[in-house]
Amino acid sequence: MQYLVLPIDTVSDGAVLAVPVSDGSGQLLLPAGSLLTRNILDGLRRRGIDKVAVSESRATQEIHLIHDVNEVQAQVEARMQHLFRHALRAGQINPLLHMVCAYRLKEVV
Amino acid sequence: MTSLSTAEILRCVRDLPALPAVVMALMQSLEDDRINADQLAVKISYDQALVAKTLRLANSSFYGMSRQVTSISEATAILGLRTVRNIAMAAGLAGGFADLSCQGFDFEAFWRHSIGTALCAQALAQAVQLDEDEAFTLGLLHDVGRLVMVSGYAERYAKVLDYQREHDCLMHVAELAILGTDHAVVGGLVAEHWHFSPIIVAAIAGHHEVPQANAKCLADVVHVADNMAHALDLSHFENDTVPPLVMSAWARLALTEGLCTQVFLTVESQHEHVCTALLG
Repeated sequence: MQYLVLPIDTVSDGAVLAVPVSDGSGQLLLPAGSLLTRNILDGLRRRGIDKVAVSESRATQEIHLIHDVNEVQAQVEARMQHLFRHALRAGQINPLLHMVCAYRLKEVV
Repeated sequence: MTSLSTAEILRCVRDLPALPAVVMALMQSLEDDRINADQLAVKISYDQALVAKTLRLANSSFYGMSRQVTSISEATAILGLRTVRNIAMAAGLAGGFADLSCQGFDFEAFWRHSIGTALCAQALAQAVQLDEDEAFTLGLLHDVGRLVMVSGYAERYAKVLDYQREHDCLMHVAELAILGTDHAVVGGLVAEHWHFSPIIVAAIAGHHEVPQANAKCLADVVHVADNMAHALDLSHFENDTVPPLVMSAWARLALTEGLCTQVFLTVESQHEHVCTALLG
């Protein structure tokens, strides 16, 4: 399972604990899979816990994927702009700019 | 910087490193429809480097052979006469200019682009029903003028490359500025010297500025294939650039986006394998 280690102050209400939390003496405080409500987060904070590992939700994973795709899209577009720089500067039409760009992006998405 | 005169270029063409006889024979065989697999195998077998490269391609994962192909006759039976002839010709050409040296000239990028243009031209010709073999050869040879300039005038060509980098201009613009002529013109002279048909000579000489025509022709195919190979980034040359597209040539081929996508897929599925076999 994928998880993120986050500062406890940034964990949102309703996140799921991915790795059990123990105190300094090894005493289990919260098992993996627990729902992190606002009250539980406050309790952990009071016991000196400043970071927790939370499961990466499907929504979060999708956000990461979107970020990756956006990054690749930006790279593809930047490279195409570089390759076609003379045509673009001169205002020339070249249908291949659109076609190759669309072809490259289809490979990504 | 003194411009190159036509006489100088022709002298340079005559002094070109001799192409393997087999390559010349294969080029001439393009116009001979009667050549058969046995005759082709005999021609290729005279040059062991050519045999090795052709077999390396036949045995590459692209063709997915379940066993080793060990002879040209076998490769011809599997890959077809046209593919073997085209590949052997590409291997021979690349080998014929292998010993050149010119500061700043990227030979690998040059051949990656030439092979890419040959594959684009072949796939485009198939799509628009023109001669695929001639298209492949044209694609392979369209920039041969650059090799001739590099082989005859390495120092002056290094200055062309400096100029191109400094001004970020198109290569033929830099050639005109420094040498007073460009690789398309020189390529046309070379093709003439090698006794290619007038159609091929004109298509090489006009691959940047395609002359007007009433119907689609090989000059249109090689012009668009050159553009496509640059656009697909096949040379892996960081500062590559797509030259202007002559819209009348594009229009004559009447290419749709779906057809172009199919050409992109076909070319990209072959390009690395061919480059590895020929340049590796």
